[in-house]
Amino acid sequence: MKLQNLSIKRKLMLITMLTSTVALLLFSASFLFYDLISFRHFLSQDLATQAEIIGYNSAAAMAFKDEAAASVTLTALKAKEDITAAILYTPDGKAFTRYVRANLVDPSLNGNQPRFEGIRFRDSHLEVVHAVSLNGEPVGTLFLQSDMSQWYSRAKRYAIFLLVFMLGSDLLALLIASKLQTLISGPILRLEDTMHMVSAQKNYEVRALKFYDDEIGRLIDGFNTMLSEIQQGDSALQSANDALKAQTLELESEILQRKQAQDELLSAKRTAEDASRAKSSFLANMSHELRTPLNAIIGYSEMIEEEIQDTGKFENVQDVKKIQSAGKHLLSLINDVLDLSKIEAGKMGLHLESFDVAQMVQEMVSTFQPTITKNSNTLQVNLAQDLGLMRADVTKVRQILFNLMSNACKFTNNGTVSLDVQRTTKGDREWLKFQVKDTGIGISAEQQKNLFKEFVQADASISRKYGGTGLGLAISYRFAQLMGGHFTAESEPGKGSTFTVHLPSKVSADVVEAVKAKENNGPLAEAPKPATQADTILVIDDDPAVRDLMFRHLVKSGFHVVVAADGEEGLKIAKRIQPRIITLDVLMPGIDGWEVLRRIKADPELAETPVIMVTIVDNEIMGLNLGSSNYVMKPVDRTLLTDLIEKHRKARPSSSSDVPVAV
Amino acid sequence: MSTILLVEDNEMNRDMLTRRLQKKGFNVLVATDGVQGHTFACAAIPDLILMDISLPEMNGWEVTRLLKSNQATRHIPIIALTAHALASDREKAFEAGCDDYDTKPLDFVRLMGKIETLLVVKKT
Amino acid sequence: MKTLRFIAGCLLCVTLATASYAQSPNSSNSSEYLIKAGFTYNFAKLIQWPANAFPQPNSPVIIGIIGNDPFGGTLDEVLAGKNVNGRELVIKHLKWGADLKACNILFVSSSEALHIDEIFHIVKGLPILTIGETPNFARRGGIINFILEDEKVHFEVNVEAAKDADITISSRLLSLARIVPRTVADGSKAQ
Repeated sequence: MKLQNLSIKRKLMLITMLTSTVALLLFSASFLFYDLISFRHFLSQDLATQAEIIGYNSAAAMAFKDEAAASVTLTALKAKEDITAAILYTPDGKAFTRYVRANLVDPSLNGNQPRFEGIRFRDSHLEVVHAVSLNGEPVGTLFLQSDMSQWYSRAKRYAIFLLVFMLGSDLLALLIASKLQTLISGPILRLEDTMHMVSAQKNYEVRALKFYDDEIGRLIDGFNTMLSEIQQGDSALQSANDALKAQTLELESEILQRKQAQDELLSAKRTAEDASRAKSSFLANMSHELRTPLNAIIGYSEMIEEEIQDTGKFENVQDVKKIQSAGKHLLSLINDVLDLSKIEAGKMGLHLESFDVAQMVQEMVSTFQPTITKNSNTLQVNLAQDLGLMRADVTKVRQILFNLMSNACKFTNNGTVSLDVQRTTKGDREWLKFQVKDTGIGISAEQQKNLFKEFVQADASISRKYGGTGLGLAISYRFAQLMGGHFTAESEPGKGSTFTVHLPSKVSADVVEAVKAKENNGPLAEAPKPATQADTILVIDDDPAVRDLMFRHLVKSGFHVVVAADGEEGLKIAKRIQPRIITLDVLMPGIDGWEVLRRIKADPELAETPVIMVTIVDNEIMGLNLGSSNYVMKPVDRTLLTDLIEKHRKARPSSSSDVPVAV
Repeated sequence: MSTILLVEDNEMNRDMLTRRLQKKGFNVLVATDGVQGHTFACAAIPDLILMDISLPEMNGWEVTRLLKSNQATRHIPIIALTAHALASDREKAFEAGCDDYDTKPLDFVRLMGKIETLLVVKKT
Repeated sequence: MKTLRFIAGCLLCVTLATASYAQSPNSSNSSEYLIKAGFTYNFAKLIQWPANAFPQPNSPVIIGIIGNDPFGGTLDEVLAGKNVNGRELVIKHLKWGADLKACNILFVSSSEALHIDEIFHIVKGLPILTIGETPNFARRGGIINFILEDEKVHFEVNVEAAKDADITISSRLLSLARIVPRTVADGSKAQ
């Protein structure tokens, strides 16, 4: 089994045992060693001393060559068991007398005096050669030999004793260790038990018992701290979990709600789509359904007219002609109504194609001729040289032109109707400008207000007098808007009127905007396209509430808005950022709105910027006279304002002779 | 005397046009649906076909395509009559193979102009 | 002439040799006196004279030989260069009338056998080691007496005599010696 994996108890005991054994061993060994060495030394010293004594005692005998006496002295060595031999040599090296321990036969002892002096160890014998002298006079040599038996026996004795002692000590150490190891292993084992319990039961309230204030004690403290942290974490986790569960439930219910809402929305959408489709197909069908019988009416009446012509019953012709005329009027009314409905339903799409402008106009001219001659008018067509190509919905362009032309012809007698077409560049885009001038009855200022509104002709009597549906301009206006164009009208009652349409030379599908119904924003009305980065609106108003309101309204509508709190600041900002449009409060401290307006118009950099007066003061004329592009009353109708801004945003500011057009 | 095949499903339109055309001196054949129109065209080889687009059985485009891909009938000028005035319709008409088209409500005078133009071309 | 000289020389040598031989009564026992000389030296080493025996610390040990010198030059040889406790050994040949008292060791030659009592009388009480080689020398009052037995030299020691002479004899010497008690002239033991 591996040592490292022994239990703590065993390890500790093993350590103790090992340590104590090694210590004891070392001690014993060194002690033994030291002792034996010193004993040996002692023995040799002893022997040397004995040799001295014997030498001394036998000196006289040696001096007197009294062999008997010398022998007696040596024989006394019998008492010493370890002495194996003692030989006295005469000065000339011959053995004089000897003592040899009983039963000992050592041939090496026979012979002359050994050739060494002092002490030596030979063959596990200790030998001493001592010079015997009498009063300083050498009388011989003593050889003494000991068998070291003392030493061996001592060594043996000691070794055994030490061994026994070691064993005994080891045993004792074992005992003590096994008792004391609990000091260390006890707490550890307890800790282990606690840990086991904690992990098995997942009970984090348990705490391990601390026994002593040592490293293990600190370990236990740490463990307990960890446990309490885990406990905290666990309870935090629990509560978080619970919170999460609660939240999840909430979320689930919310999701459910949202899903429901989504489903409702989807079904609403589907309903709306269905409605839209229904509307489209309705429009399409109605278009077809309405026209078909009318075609029949018109067609048959034409046929009857022809037949009457043939038969010569001319008095019926007028009646038939009236039927025709009514039918034709009805047809054009239906067409117009259907167009407007389409526009309003947002179903009026653009079908773009490139066509030659001049060619288109030329083709159309012929269709005007009847109307021209009807009122004895003269037609002037001025086409610029560089008209080139236009990409637009040609049908709509034709319709617009036709409308303008027929209006001009209708309201002019013995006058001149002129059509001017030019190509212009405003900003970075190219435009086609169609202008229809007439020398007709003109339009009063009052009437101008309602010019582009549907169903309102200038005067109820006019429709009777001049015919028409009253929808034409509204439709033309909308068509122009759809294509990203811009419609203006000027007129002087009695003098004549000028209608100008600016259309982009390249109508892009992006610019298609559904004309919003001003009365109601149905769910199908499309939101205006957000202004591009360059289209910043500067709002100058001293009232922070108004500023905030305007800001939020306009931002919601997708514009980039900058605000100024007073006229001075507004002017500075305007100069710096060159906003697209400026809304201007009239009543402000410092310089009032009128002054600001004057200054804006006086500054060549800002003069062209459309300014919308937003104020409680009803002084529209002043505003208009001063050159404000529009005049809006507070409280501001958000849609009105946005419309205005849209209008101005789309129409590049032309000359300041732009007659402000009230919406 | 030229023969015109009129393919029109609406009775009043049919009646008006037939009578007016006859008055102008044309021999008028009438078909009331696309399939009939196709059959008559192949059988009678008229001098001109007035093709209403919204027809039952087979719409005007289809009939036009069939006739224009048939060796026997491809030479017959076809004027499409459509209630829609969209440019896409015009394109569609020419794509199908029509020689001209006119929009409803029909201006008879205008239509006559187109008919005569095509017949003259045919003759030459 | 040369041959004559040579012969004369040889004769001379022989004569001298013989003469020297003739001088000593015991010339055939020169080894005996070698031993005795050695023993004498050893005696000197193993006895202690009282403090008043020597006038000065470095005074020599005077060995006086009275009577015929049996040693020849042997004693000189043996004692040459030796000392006893740092004291030199000086040999004096004493004639009658000389100061017998002025020595530390007195060797009484066998030629003076008849005068032994006289000698003892002279040196009585004095710290002199008397050594003799005649029978009963020790019994009569001498301290040490050489005995020749089986051709081996032994010696007798009269302890009382030594005590009288205030001379201490080492036990080591005593253990090797034959102790003889003093007897009076009639041979009975002294009390």
